[in-house]
Formats: sequence, structure tokens, C-alpha cells
Amino acid sequence: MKTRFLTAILILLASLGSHTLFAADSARNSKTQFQAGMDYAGISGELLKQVTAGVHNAELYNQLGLSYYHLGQTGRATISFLRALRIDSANKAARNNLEFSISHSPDRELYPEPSFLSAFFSRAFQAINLNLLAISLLLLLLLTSFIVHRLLHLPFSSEKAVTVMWSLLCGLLLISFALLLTLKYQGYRDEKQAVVIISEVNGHSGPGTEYAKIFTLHDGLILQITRSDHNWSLVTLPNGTAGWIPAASLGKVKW
Amino acid sequence: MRITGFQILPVILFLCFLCGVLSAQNVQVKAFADPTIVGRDEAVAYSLEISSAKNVRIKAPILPAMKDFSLRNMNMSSMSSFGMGGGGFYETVTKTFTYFLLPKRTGNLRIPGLNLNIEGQGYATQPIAIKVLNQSFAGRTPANQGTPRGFGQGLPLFEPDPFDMNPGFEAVGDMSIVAMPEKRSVFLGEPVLVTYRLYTSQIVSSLELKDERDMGGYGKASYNEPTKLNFEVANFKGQRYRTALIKVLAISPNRVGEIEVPRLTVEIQTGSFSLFTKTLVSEPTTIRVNPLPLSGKPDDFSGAVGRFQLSDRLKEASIRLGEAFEYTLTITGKGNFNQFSNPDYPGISNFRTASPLTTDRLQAGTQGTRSIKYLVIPRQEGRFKLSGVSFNWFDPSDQSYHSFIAKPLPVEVKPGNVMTYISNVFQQDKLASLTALQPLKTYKSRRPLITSPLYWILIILILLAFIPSWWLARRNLIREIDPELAAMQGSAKVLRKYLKQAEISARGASQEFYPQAEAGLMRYLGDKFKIPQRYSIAEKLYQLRLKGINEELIIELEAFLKRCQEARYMPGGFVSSVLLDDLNALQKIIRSFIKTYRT
Repeated sequence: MKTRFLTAILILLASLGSHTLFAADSARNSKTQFQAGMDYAGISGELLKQVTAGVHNAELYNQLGLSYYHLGQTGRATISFLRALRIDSANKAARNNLEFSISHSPDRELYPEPSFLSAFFSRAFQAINLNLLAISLLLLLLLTSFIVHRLLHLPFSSEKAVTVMWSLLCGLLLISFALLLTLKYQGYRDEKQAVVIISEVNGHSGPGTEYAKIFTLHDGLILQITRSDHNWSLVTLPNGTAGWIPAASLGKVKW
Repeated sequence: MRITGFQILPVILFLCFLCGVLSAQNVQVKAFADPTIVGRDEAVAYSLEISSAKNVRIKAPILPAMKDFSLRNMNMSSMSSFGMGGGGFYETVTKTFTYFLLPKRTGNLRIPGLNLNIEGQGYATQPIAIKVLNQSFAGRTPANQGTPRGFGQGLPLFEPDPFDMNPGFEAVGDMSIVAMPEKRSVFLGEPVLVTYRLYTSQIVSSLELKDERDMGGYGKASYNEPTKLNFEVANFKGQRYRTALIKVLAISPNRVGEIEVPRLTVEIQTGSFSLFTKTLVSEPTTIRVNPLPLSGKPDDFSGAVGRFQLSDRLKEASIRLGEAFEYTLTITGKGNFNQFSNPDYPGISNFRTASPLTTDRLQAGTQGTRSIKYLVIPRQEGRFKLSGVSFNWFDPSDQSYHSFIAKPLPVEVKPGNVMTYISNVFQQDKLASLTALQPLKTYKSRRPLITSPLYWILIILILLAFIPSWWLARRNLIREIDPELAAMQGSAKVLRKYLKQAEISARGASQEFYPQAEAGLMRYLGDKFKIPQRYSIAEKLYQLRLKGINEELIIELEAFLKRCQEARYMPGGFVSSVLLDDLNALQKIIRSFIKTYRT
């Protein structure tokens, strides 16, 4: 009876996950094309007003990114898509648009091709967004505490093996979910991620134009800021190369 | 050894077959842009057409970096056709990747050539020049300048008098190329076949198409191009001519007014031994293109012009959550298939629509069948009405607009199972284009739960619940393992309770002190030494003696109990001034019991 009850709770958790995943998949229509004469500047301005008012919504950032992309501001579009994914990593529209933007950027060769396993786990990790993970963790904590309470109050002489096994299983799941949530939240708060927002910028071996030029980056490239020195930032490219570029050419993804 | 023709025949047949197979494996890559002259706010559709005898696996090619253009979107379509050659049937699969490029500046720009690697082989396309004018052409429908392969299914079903069609016709040295449009007056977008024939009075040993000059104002596709010249005889003004079909083009006008059909340049070798070479250009021939009538024109007119029959079909009316409905719209007929886009699937709440898959079985992009498969994915289970698509077109034959509105279809979505759930999570449904820009609306703020104080309060409450639970569990455990210890711990608790009440009464000079002290003491001793509460005081004292309790302590206890009895029942027995002394006596007795009989 107890085992059935616990199984039912685990299925409930899984079905909650599946429902949220289905629901998180926002409506999309792939037939959209660039429409000459459409007021993308006006649309982005209206969306930006909502962002400035403090609205924190993945779809809003996705739409803002789309309008920026149509305006030719690939860097700002990429920042918006990344922000949308920080809020809801399961947002397929934002993921698709980001991948589209990356696959058509001049610096696409700088992104390493992920291995099958890495791509598989990354996709699974992306399918669970921060809120879903937080709710799952809460439910798991409730379930684990229920089982532990039950274990504490069982008569001394009664059989405890099944309950102990369930509590260990739930405990392991709880720890795993807590770790995943920590990782997810670190990604949400990541202050180092940045995007090139000007059409072209040169990377140097030191913080100044007097240093040797080592690479040229373009609008929309996603990179990591390692260090800052006055108006220059030491950045690491997706392929691992590091160099200094002017801080003004970068837009941070963090709010 | 002598080799006979009979012996060599199988070898020749095998070589022919091999040539056919090898030629069929060839991959052809074409690149073209439409239009090549654009306004500053107009997108250029740059298409890469990859044809092969087999379905080659190719990802959407990535365009090289272009400083003069920005990429706005990309679409992909595929088409397959069958033909015969090289000793057998072959299938040609053509994949077209269309990139919509927006010029960044005006002037003469260049779309650079592209290097492709298809199944280990390298292919390169030529750069394409684009002229960007400083004016707006917003709203213009781009034409498809591609040249899909025709099926070579014979001549069109008309044979007009070439000399009526080309009033200025004069045979050049008894030889001329004549362009004969199917109609001289058409509607905008209405496809028209243009037949090119050679008229000659000389012996022609070979003919080679050298050029096909576009005059603008139309999209075109090859309808028929025979591989050899089949001459017939025609009379004109008493003069006998030999005539042969060179090519049939299908053109779809995209500009109102007079348009000139493409001009063909051919090189002809004449004479029995191909001694003489002549270059001929087809005569200028025009077609009048009329605008579509405004009366009756639907607001959402698709741009389709032709004679069409439409039908729709739903593959399954009952699916599980996580699966998709397959709704197919079929458009059959003759018209400007290359100039209208697929109708949008109407947005329905509780459903989302994936990219439609288009399959064309068209001749020269003008005649045949187009199937558009929509995947409609439910978001929740239940019974619904699935909307069908609507499509409208202009029919030049009756000069009126027609509409097809599909009936709503009842469908059922059953609960999903584990497999549908897993496949939904891990499906690789990458879109090849950007998603739609939705109409402006106000969005609700959705901050992460993890940043909400309520979330952490819930977590803390769940964790804090362990403290009382642990304490209760420990008490229950002691009761179960050592009931005596539990009873003693219980007696101490009872004693504390009564002693506290008695102390309050004593300090308040209340007579209640004595019954409280007596009850508390008896209850304590009863619990501690397992003496039933129903016994009288004398019996309890006797039991204590039996248990070997110190006699002095029993005497003190007896005296105190006697004092309690007197204070309670003897007239004048209660004296408030000695209450504190009696309290001290009680505390002393209890301390002695606790100290002496700790366990």
C-alpha cells in the first residue's frame, strides 16, 4: 500500500514535469519572414518599455530579440534570446532563434561542435526550466520528509527495509535536484556571459590597441568576460581563445 | 581471336547502363537570386538548388560572411521527379534552400560564391551581382527565376500560326527562330507557355542553345526541351519550311503592362557536313499583362492565379498527447505555383503548428499537384474541433475569385504515455527559420520561484517540522524500549506540574496547597514505584516499606501526609502562617526521594 502510494507520488512528479514541458513550448509559426516596411523599431521600443518597467518574461525577451534581429542588431538580439532562456530554458522558440542567429553569424566556426553525449545531456538539462526544477525540488523535499517522518515513527520492532530504501532513493533524487537547481541558478545569475554588440571588433594580446591584434569578432558572438581593466575586458571565446577587447563593444547578458 | 558484334553487344549495354547510373549519381548545384534589382528595403531571395539522383544528406548550407547583406530568414523545400535515361529509370531529388537577404546599402552589390561539400565532393557557385536602387519596392512579389527541370512530356496543346504571332517575321537567310506565346493577353501571375520553333529551308545538322536572355517582368521555368530536332513541314506563302521544336518555357508575369518573352540565341550548323555555322536570335515577342480585377478581391488574397482544385485530409482523428495530427492540403491544377506561399494554418488555442512540409509534383512549376502537410500538435487532452485552412485564388478562365474553406474536423486527444513524453523531450525538431513575431501585448512578469521568500519559508517549515517529529519519535521509542524509564520520566513531569501549582497556592496563602501537594506526591510515588493509585495512603506507605524505602523518609512522608489531612479536614487545622514551612517540608521530601532513588 505504502509502496503504491510512493509510486503514485513519483508518477505525479513526472506527469507534472511533462505537463509543464508541453505547456512551456510556446506557440510558433515557422512561416514568418522578414516583412519589408514593418515597424520593427516601433515594436522593439514598445517591448523595451515593458522590460524597463521590470517585466520578467521569457516570451517578452524572445519577441524583443526577434525585433532586434529584424533590425539587424544581432548582438542585442542574441542578448535578448539568452535572457529569455535564462528565465525559461525550455522555451523552444527562443532556443530556435538563438541557434538560428548563431548558425548564421560570421563567427559560427568559433563555437565547438558538442559531442553526442554532451548534446544529449545538455538538451535534457535545457528541457527543465528553473521554476520546474524548484517545484520538483520542493515536492521531492516534501516526499522525502514524509518518508523520513514515517521512518522515525515506525515501531522499533517493525520491518523498515522498504521505507529505508525509499528514503535513500528520494534523498539521492533530492540531492541531485538540489545540485541541478544550483547549477541552473548559477547560469541564471552568471555575470560573466556577454555578447559582442558592435559590427566588428579586434581582439588584442593586451588591454590596448598598441598590443598585437590576435582576432576579429563580429556582432552576436557569445563569450565570457574573465577580467576587466579600465575600459578593456579580457574575454574567452567559445573555442577557448582569450584576448582583450574594448568593454564598450560588449553587452552583458545579466540584467 | 575474332570478336563478333553479337559478343560485344552485352558489354556495350553494360557500359551504357553504367554511364546512366554514374550520370544519375551526379550532384548539380545552382545558385540564383530573385530579384536581382531591388529597392533599399526589399529582400533578395537567394536560392541554392541542389539536385541529385539520390536523396543526399545535406544540412542547410551556411552563407559566407557578407558585409553588404544581412540574413533575415531561410526556407527549405524539396522536390522529386522521375525520368528515363542511361538505360533505366532515375529519380532526381532537388532541394532548394532560399535565403532572404536584406541589402545594407544601395549600389552594385555582390552575393559571393559558395563552396559546398556534399558527400565528400566539393562544389562551388558563382557570385551573383545585385543592384540596389535608392527607392522602395515594398510589397512587390519576388518571382522565381529558377529553372526547374521539365518532364519532356511532349508539345503543348496548341500550335498557333507563327506568322500571326510574329508579324515582323522574315526568315533570315531562309532560317529563323520564332517565339509563340500561348496567349497574347494574360492576367498578372497567370502562367503562359511560350514555344520556340526553328523554321528553315536548309538542312540543319545540329543546333545548340547558346543563351536565354531574360527581359524582366516574369518568372520562368523550362516546360519542355527536346533532346533532338523532330522536323515537320510547314507552308507559308507558297514557301515550304521545315520546322522543329526547340524549347517551351512557362513564364509567370509579375508586372502589369507589355512584357517581352525571353530571347533565345541558338547556334546552328547547316549543310550535310556541318560546314556552315549560323547564330540566330528569336524575334522580339510581347505579351500584354492585365492587372487582376479589384472587384471581389479577398482581403487576404494569396496571389494564386490559375485553375485549381483543392482538397484536405486528416490522417488520424484520434491521437495521444505528445503526438501530432497530420493535416494535408492538396492543390491540383495549373497556375503560378511558384508565386504564392503556403496558406497559414489558423491559430487554435490548445494547439501549436510545426513547419509545414511541402511536396510538389509540378511540371515547370505551373502544372501538377502541391501537397502541404501541416503538423498540428495538441497541448492538452480532450475533444476539439480542428480548423481547416482557407485558400483563395483568381481563375482567369472565368475572371473571378474563388475560395476554399475547409470544414472544421472533430478530433480527440487521449492522455499521453511515457513514450510520447520521452519522445517529446528529446525530439530533434530544429526549425530552419526564425519564429513568428507575435502581435504586441502586455506580458506578465514571471520571476523565478527560487527568488521568492515564500519558497524558502516553505522549505524552512518543512525542515523545522523534523524537530518536533524527532522529539516525539524519541519519546515513543523510549516508551517502547524501556517502559519503566518512560514511567519515571513521566512521574517527574507530573511532579513538576503539581509542585508548581502547590508552590503558587502556598505563596498565595491558599488552602488548595494541601490537596495539590498530597495528590502530586502520591501520583509521583505511584508512578515511580509502581504503586496503584487506587490504594489508600496507608496501603501506599506499606508498599513503600515493602520496596525497602528508607524508614526515616517514610516517617517524614507520613508526617507530611498527616499534616495535609489535618489541614484539610480538621477544624482549625489550616494555618496560613505555616504554609511556607510545609512547602519547604514537601520540597525536602521530594529532593530526598529524587536523590536517593534516582533510577
